[in-house]
Amino acid sequence: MMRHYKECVAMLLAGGQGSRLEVLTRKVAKPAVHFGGKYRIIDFTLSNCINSGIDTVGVLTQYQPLELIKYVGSGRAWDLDRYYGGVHILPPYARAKSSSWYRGTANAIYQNLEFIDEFSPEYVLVLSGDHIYKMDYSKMIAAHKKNKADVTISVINVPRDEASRFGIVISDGEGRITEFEEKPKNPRSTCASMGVYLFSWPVLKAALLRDEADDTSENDFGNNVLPMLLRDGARMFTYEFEGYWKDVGTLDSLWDANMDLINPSIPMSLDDPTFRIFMKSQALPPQYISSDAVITNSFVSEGCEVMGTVDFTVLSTGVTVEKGAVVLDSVIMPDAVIEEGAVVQYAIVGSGAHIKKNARVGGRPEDYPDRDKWGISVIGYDLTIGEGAVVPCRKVVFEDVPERSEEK
Amino acid sequence: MTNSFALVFANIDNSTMDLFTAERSICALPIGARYRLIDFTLSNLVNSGVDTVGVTVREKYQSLLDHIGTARDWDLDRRSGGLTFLPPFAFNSATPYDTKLKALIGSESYLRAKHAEYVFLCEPDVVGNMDLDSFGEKHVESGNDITYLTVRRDGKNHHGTFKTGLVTDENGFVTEFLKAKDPRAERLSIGVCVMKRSLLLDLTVAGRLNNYRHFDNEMIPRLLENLKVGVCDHEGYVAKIRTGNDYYRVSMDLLDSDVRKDVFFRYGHIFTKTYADVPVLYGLDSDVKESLIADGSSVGGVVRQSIIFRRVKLGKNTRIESSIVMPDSVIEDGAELRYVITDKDVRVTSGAKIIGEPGRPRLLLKGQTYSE
Repeated sequence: MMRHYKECVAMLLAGGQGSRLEVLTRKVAKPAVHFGGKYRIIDFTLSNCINSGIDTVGVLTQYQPLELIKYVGSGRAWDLDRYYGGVHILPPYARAKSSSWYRGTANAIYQNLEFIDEFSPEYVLVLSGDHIYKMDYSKMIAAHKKNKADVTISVINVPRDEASRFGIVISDGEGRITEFEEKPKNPRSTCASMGVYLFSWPVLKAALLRDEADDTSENDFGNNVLPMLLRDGARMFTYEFEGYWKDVGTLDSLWDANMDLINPSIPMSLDDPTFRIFMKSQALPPQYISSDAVITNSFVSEGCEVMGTVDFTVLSTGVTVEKGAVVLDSVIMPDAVIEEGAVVQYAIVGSGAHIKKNARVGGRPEDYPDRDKWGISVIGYDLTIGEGAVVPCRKVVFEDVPERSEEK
Repeated sequence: MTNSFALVFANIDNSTMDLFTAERSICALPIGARYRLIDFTLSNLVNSGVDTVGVTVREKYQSLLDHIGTARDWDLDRRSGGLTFLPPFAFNSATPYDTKLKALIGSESYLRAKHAEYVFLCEPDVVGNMDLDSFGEKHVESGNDITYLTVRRDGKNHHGTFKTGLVTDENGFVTEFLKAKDPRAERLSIGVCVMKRSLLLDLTVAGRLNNYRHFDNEMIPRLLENLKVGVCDHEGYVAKIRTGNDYYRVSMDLLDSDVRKDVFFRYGHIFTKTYADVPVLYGLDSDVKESLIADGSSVGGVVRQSIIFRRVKLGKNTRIESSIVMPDSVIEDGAELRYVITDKDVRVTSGAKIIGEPGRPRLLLKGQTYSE
């Protein structure tokens, strides 16, 4: 049988639940969560792959995969519908003698060794589907070759006071990794791992087989496989990434990353013709801005009908903001409706949610002298916030909120 | 209607919008902020279950080919059927390929190779969301030989310039073909008809042998004694675009939310070429009212009663009023447009003021730079 050679195969870990985003990930896996008006989080990694010349991508799904599978489809939105290669959804599957869920990030790759071997790659790029960044992986592959590395880990410099939130990589003057520290109290370096790992395939394959044989292992890249390779003296290097990179694993960071798109001082343009971020488009009419609308500092997508006031806000596809409604400093996901007189501020409103007349969602930080009491509010997918109802700041809403009668 | 296919006559161009159709056929005209005129016809067919479409072309079809590509945005990239371009091949080039009938004669082998029983003939200069599925079924039930999709002259929902008027008898059969402006014609043809493929083949051969030039206005009228020709009225919004004035007025009609609901959603979505355009970025000083804006654009100033196409950059302190700005145009800081239609890729330099007249918008030509 002829084997189709691919220099590099990417494996995208998209099976996690995203439990810190639970209100938005009850029905969809985290990589399928809406972002930036007309994107989903996974669009960034898939677009990075195709923009880096990687046309063979395995997407490892496990948790709530339906929406993600529908979204990725044949991969044609990213030019990943190919005769040889292309994008493949890889769910856990049953075998003749045994079957199991993906037990950890490394186990997920282990269970798909045969998929990777089909392409006889030299390198395997392991990615996570929950970061917002634009990265040309081919430069990382070039550095990997130059270093004659077994493993290259992409790192980004983070502020020292934030370093303890990340997996920190310590390396020598040549970039060779000497130590890992997972969320250290007193970080010795500010190089944070971005969750982007490039392996020489024979090294990864051998490591996964060994890891699988070790009953004490959790089968996790960060906790098990990478430390094991380091102990064995593998040539492991850092690759320093410069540019915008954001983990959108929390509701706050998801809101922040959306707001970054409106901020002219943030160095990430989605509009760069040489490095485009692709998404699946819908057949929606252009956005309509009515004679009653006031719209400034915002990112607004096709299919929107804006008749109210919108400022510092991301409106996703098909959102309606009725006359007299006010939406400030918020992220409104697709097809949500903000009715007449409703006020939404510092909030994330999930896809398909309906904010009824005169309801109020969220509060402004300047109204809270004690900043610890303030935070963004989040409305889950497809929920209804009843007429006149009030959702205070920092509230995460999982269920419909009934209307509130007139009496005060 | 599954047992059918369609021919779309992109080769005929009755428009009088010389400036905008110098480099493209009328059906490739950008309209409604993110569409081309032909999108309505193709989407109506697809939404009605027609997945085999031949598009006849004659000249100036580069921009149409660019737009349609493999036709995948209309789900017309099929193993079986799909969209096929029919240029004037295997045809004496001295004979003009400029009428519906001439294109039919040139497409005879395409017609013969199809198996579906019914065929829709469509002129792609229409804006409207039409249920061709019910239209086709009514035709089959009626026992007509040919049925034309029409509007009533006294209806209020038809716009633009119609070419052909129809007179019908008490049984609803067409008795006469007239110019649309003739007041005796109580119905106007939208430019869509349906018949059996076998009949169309016979008519095509007859047209060739008798050296007829026109299908609807010459050959069919002569055959009315032998053919049962019926009509079926379309109820929703419909416009035929032929003049610059039609184009401007229909564009402005789309600013009305009832018209938008009808045109974009009545029976199905209108599909168009997709790009991975970013959402629209509204700046600190943006002030937009009563306008349609397509993705990929950015707004830095005032916009009133205007249509802004994809990837248009409106600089700081610009003022766009009662205007249409086609894709990839750049309006630099401080420039002002009123009653203007820009073609694609137009640049208006910083501080320029370009003012047309109501009813006679000024046209800015493709790829040109204007400073006054």
